[in-house]
Amino acid sequence: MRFWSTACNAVQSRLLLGAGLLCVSFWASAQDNSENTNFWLNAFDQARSEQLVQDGLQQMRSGQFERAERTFLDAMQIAKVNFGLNSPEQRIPLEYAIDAQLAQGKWDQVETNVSYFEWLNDEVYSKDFYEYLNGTEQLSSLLLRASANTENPIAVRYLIAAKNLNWRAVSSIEATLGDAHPQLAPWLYNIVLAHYYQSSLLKRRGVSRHAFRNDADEEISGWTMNVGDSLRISYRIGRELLARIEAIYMLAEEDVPPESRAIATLYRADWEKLFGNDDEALAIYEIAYKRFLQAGLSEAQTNQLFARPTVLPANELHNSFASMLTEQQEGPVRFNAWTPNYPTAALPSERAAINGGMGTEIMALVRFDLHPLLPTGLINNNRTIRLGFNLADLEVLETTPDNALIAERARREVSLLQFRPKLENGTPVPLEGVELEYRFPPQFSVISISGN
Amino acid sequence: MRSVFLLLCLMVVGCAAESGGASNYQAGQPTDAEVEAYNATAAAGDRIVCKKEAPNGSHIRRRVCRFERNINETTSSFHHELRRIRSSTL
Repeated sequence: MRFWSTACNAVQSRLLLGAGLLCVSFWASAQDNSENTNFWLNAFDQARSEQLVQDGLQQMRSGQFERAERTFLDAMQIAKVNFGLNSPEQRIPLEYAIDAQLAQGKWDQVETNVSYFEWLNDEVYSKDFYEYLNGTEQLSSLLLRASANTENPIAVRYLIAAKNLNWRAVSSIEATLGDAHPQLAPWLYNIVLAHYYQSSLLKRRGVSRHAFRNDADEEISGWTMNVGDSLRISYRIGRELLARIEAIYMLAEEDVPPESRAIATLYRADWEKLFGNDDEALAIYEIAYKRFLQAGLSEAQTNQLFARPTVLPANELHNSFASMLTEQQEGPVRFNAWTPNYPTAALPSERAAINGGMGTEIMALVRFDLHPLLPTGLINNNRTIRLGFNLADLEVLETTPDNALIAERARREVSLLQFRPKLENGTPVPLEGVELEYRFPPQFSVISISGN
Repeated sequence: MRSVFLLLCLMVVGCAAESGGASNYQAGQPTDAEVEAYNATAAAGDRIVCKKEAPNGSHIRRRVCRFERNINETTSSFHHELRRIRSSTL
């Protein structure tokens, strides 16, 4: 009995001591860090998580990336406490945290958190299929953003990961909704675009092989085939997928606007044009033009679609005349270059934009003519002439900042762009005095211009 | 003379079929898109690799698809065999 009371006293005194120490440590931590004073009290307050996300975004805007990263990770912890270990609510602060890590070049942490994001998203799949697709889209943009960063030593790996993620989304849609469902189309088009970025990277001078790590974390070569073979495979996959989109729209006649198939045909022609098959492209453009008329569009409406130059490839897969027209804004054609990693590629979406820091925006306003080279000049010689749609009389009207090197570089970059030809009644016609506002990518500096 | 001409025609057709981009796939073989779709979810070793190879006795390259693990096994068995031959000749 006496032993029992002694033991109880000892436990009580230890508990008191422990509680006292706990209070002292809380007090000390509260004194040390005034910002986190109430954090432990608010671990169940979801509003606090949202507030932290807003604070983090503010810190990102002012360039405090490390602080922002901590804030987003705190917000993620609150979401985890509130909604569970595998809750999808963690994805928003997690995406921002990865963004902050990308801005700091913390590649290892990026990799770990991307894997965690992927795990969270896979957990959602069995519970909510559409939520899984939303998460996949979010993760895909994140991977593209990581692949666009010129300082990322394993940029190609992220591009391939983004492409694989889209393939997985395709497989899941096929398994859930069927292999001819119209919802497949935008995901298939994302894969087509990924192949375009891959080709753009391959064509870049001096880039033919890339090293990255495999599943066992060994460094291996990303491409084991030569550039030509790799380009041919990308071209074939793009062509096959665009033909599949066309077939999907044809089968889903009642669920999509009647002009969807014609638009898919137009994109197929664009693909041929991008890979230098101008004859093939022209023939398919003509088919697309006829299909627009068959779908019920008037000649004036169809001509309107081809009246304004479009830089290829189109960033988004449209499936209606109205959405295509909405994209055609007034004034000069605007082209936001995405990243020096993928020359000639436009920024796919705001979500894929790389964080350029606090640098000045570099842009140039240029004017040029687009001439289809019609086979009239040499017909008397009985020669077969390749058709082409060439950019001519390119002049730089102004640059911001005003700099001769920027003007020179703008001339070069714009001359590499490819455009959908202007068609009138199915026939290509010249387009004169086209004005284009070219915005250089965020990581493109005047120093890099003079260096090249 | 006529048979020589026919032979020449066949050779030209054979080469054209080999280099042509449009009909790149042989019957029963997966397309590049199908291979890529499969590889996106396959584990390392289970992935398929397709490339053009000239089989023994021919100069005409054909597209051949194999599992990565089979390529690795074949490569290591060739290496093993080479080592065996070298050591036996010493």
